[in-house]
Amino acid sequence: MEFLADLSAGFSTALGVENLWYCFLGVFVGTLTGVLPGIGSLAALSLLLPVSFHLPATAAVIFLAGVYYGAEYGGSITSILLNLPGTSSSAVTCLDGHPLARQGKAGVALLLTTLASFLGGFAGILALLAFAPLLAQVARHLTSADYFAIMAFALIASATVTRGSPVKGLAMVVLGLMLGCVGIDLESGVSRFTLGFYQLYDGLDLVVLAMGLFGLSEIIASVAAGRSSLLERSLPLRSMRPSRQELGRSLSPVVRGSTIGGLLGALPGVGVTIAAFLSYAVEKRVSRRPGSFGKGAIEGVCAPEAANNAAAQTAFIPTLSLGIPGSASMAILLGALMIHGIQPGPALLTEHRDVFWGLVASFWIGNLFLLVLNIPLIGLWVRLLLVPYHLLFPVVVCLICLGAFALNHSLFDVWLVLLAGCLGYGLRLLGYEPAPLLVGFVLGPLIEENFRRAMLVARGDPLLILERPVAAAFLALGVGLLAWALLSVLRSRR
Amino acid sequence: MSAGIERASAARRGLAQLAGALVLGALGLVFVIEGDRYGLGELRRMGPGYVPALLGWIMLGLAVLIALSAPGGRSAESGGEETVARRPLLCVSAGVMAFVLLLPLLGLLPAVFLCALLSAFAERAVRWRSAVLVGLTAAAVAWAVFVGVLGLALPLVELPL
Repeated sequence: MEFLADLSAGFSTALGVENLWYCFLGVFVGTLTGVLPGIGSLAALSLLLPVSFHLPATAAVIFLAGVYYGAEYGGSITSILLNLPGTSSSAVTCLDGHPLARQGKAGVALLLTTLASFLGGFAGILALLAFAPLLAQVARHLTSADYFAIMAFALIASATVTRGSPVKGLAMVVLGLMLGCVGIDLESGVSRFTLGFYQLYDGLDLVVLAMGLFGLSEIIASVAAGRSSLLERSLPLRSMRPSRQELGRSLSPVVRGSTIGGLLGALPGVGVTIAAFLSYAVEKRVSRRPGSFGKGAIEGVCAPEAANNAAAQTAFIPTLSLGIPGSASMAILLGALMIHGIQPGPALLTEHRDVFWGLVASFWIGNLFLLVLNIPLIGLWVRLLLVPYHLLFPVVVCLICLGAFALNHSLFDVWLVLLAGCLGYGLRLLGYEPAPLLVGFVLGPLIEENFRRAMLVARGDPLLILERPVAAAFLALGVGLLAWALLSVLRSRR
Repeated sequence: MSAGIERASAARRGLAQLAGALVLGALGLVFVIEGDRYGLGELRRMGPGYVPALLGWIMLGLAVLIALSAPGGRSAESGGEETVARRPLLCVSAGVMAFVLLLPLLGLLPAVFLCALLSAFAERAVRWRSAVLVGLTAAAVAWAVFVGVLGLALPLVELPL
């Protein structure tokens, strides 16, 4: 029962006036920056990291953690309203969230997103508390071969689950993987596909790619289609509250999403993006109306949101207990901890218990703040839909440019946004889905690294991967999914 | 719509799909060639070029599959839109380019103003007055958010000497 004593100590730390204030501030600023097109949690954290230097350790991490999930949530807002994902995991939210907005149900979508995120985060925190040591253990037993299989499965899932032909989806995944190859290869030091640009040594930036691919191309396409406002037709805005039926339909997706997210988030590097896509895929398979996905299915919004919030919380497990950041945002949080002299790792739970438990308690409070803060604001966001499009989109274009520039103070990135935008528009014209590209891009370097290492360990024998149960299971699932998708395409042609 | 026109546009769509598949295939080929140049190594000790080359081959295969299904594919399947919207594409691109070129030259506010102004012309029915208004709004929002909230260090207005 020491656990309860720790938890209550944590709460008393987190509820202290100073920490409470910073938690609120973090969530507020995080949501605000997350709403801006293109400024996702990563950019927000990078820009606000220096601010945290002047704060005491616990307050600093609480603040940054608040910014993190505040921005993740803010990113969902732009995904739903503008079809602009702030992070790769919010790309899934666009798929059904934006159609819902265009049908006048933006309020419903936003409210359900908030609730699903809260519940998912809550579930994730419970998982964190109950299973942190256990999950860390399991994660330690997974080898590169297992990670490779899990990631390969996730790639196949993202290719086959979005609208359109699975073959084209696979092509997009591969394109994303290819774009992920750009930069200096970490193992050999060889610079690949950088075309002589030193700015590409670190590879392409995810946020830049997302902004161009989704944001700019969306704007170009919408203007071309003569969109008068963000609403599809001049519908009266339906009530912001979801119907009882809609709420009922959201419950099991949220539960499923939270479970998937909670489990996957604990795997370092993999977590949030995969959790979101996988739970979308699961929902689509489980649903009685798979055809409604991509056109505004509530389940398609709730489940991924619950999943990515649960994953965002459990992503702290490898970060805090192993010192392995689960994502770039986690890396920044880790950096903040280290700057304050706190070394994450097994020692964190023993030597700095107050920080750890204070942090966990503040997650709860932070999620609550998100809920409380954002529900009244939903009305405000929905008003945005009524602004005539021709007044709105140029401002968004400027925000995209500035957002891209602000990341690295680099104009090169803005050029990249433009290129990505043209690419995105071209893809749209030809009927290719951009979301799998993003997943391929994020997972590319990771899957390559794990593949290489797996082959190194297996001494070049690919069949050895199949000897590991986890890897074999995921690969089998992946092949099965692929076969199913291709078969259904063939069947629909006949 | 007469059957003739429908067939023509379907043919155009099929051609566009084919072109897309060709581009992807070409990209695959580039990756195969470049991958080989970076050094393939062997499966147990992969060189920097192994994975790119592998991806290139996979892409080539996929491109062939897409090309095969391009003509004769029903329009609903190939998806995508009909025609290239030239005006929005050009105006938005011009806006972004204006931003990139003018930011170091004239500072934040003029760059944002012109970016918004040029982008606004993507809308065919736009008038000068509303475009200028949008430009000013964009500049104000940009200043408030990026300089005010996020503390971006950029010269607001610079005059070329």
